[in-house]
Amino acid sequence: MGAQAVETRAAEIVLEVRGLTKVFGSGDAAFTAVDGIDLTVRRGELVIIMGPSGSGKTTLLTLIGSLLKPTSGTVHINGLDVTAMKESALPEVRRHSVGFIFQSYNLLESLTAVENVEVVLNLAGGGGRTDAVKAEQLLTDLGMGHRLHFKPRDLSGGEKQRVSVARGLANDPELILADEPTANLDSKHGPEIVLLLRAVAKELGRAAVVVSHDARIQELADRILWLEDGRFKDNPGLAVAPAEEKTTEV
Amino acid sequence: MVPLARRYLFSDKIRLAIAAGGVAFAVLLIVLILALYQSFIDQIGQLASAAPSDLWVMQTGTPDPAHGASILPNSVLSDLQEVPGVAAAQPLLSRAMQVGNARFGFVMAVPEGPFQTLTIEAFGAASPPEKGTVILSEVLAKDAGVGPGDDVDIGASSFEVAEVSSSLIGSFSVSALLDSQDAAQLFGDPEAFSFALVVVSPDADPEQVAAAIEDQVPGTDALTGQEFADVLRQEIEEGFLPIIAVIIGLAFVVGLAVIALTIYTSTVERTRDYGVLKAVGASPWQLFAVVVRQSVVVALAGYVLGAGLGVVVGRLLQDAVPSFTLLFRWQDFLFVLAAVLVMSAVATLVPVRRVASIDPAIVFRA
Repeated sequence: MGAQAVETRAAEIVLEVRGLTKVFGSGDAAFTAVDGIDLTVRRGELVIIMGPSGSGKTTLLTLIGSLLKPTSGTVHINGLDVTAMKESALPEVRRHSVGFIFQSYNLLESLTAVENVEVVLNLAGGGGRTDAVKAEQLLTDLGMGHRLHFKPRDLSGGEKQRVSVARGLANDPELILADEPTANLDSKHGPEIVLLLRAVAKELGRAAVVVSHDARIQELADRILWLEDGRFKDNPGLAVAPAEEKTTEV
Repeated sequence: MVPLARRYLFSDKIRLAIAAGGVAFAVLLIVLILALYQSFIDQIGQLASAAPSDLWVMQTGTPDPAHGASILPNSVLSDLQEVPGVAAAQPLLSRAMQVGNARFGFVMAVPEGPFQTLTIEAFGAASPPEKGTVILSEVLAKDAGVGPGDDVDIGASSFEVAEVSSSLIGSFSVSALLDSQDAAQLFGDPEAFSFALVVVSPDADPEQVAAAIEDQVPGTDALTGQEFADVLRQEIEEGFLPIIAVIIGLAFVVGLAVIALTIYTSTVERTRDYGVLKAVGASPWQLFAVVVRQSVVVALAGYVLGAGLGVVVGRLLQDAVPSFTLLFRWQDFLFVLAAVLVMSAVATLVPVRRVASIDPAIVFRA
């Protein structure tokens, strides 16, 4: 592989996880939720992490999103080692480099759909009409133009998740982390949301990591990883299961 | 900019109303207490400040006409004339007495003297009352339950109310001005007076003249108008200020507790929201600002409501209770505003700690 090819390949890497481990408790009560995970995700890729309940999927996502400090290992987002950063520097990473989409939407009930998106833009230092216009545009692009000023309580599950996606994309993050985004959606809207994330990854050049139980969305992934007991493992039942992920990078 | 703090506050309007009402109650209490206190302070010193003289001369040890009668023999007036620097000395009769139904009235008279008319005018009357009549201050007339033409008992005598004056000053605005002969008879000693108002020569220093009076006229104290006013105010300050401070302190604590509880409960209810905001990149300072804004809005709403109500309730109380006189000063409103802002800042300490301790990872819990 030539030097230029290596450089291009490195530039495409959005997320690089090495030896990521999280142990809760200590001594006899110690529990290893995530155990030496290695993972690389590139621009344009949609990776789905599946596994049984308690396998460490959400903990892994929390660690990647810098919401939890790992016991050991590193997480690089766009080449930046977020595990080495001070706590005070992490909000900046979360604002600009990571977009979260949550299972239970986590929309702010006091705000309208458009305000839920706009508030994230405000946090990033924006303000004024520009943020409102961008928030409206994002929601309109996601088919929510007719529900901009509805409060979350007046939206359906699918609509709430679209607002959540719009919020996750608001600050143009390179990495999108979605935790069970289809869990509360029906068979029509669930895959629709993942299709949307796939389109965002492909068309906007983002990397998306989706944690899910939902077998309906397997075929939409570029890669599916099986997490069990905090480690990536082979699962013959999965349509896509790149064995190399469980040890080193893809 | 999304007005997050405002949305959080207005999402529960009843709680907001209770919180603002609680702060308003505290503000109302503080505003009224301060206005009452300032009114006392103002009135108690009014007489001393208004006199058209440089010095007040009184019997030694009786500087407070409300609590001790100064009695000076008429010979003191001629003794004063002998003191270098004394240009003129005007006698004044005064005594605290029961007036009609009022338990306390400051009864005074200005006998003939070098500046009798000037003194009467300075005390707020156009001319001395006729013999057998009395001019009452508005507050004292209301307190005593009498009006013009009525008879009112002062001590063992009865006088016809010649006039009810809103401009007559004295002690606590409860003043009665009598003819000097009536007063001398009422006080029981025609050969004595209460105070001498002394005007010093243009080239003399009032303080030096005061010292000379105390030296040369035995049994007298001589104070400048300002010193006399300060002595009168001192008793109020020493006697009432600690009580007032305690009441204001309690009102402050009530307001503080109301804001703190409101903001804290609102913060606890929105733990998940704050967690979400942390997860999507809000810095601690941005979240603290949301909490502080809510606190400031509650405090300011309470302040505006409480200060406005304070003025209205104060006026109503003044009408209903004549002796309840108030003096609203802009400095006191500024002081209360500052106190309310301090309240709002202190009230956020616990909620801010709560926000700081929220783990953003809670957003992943269903």
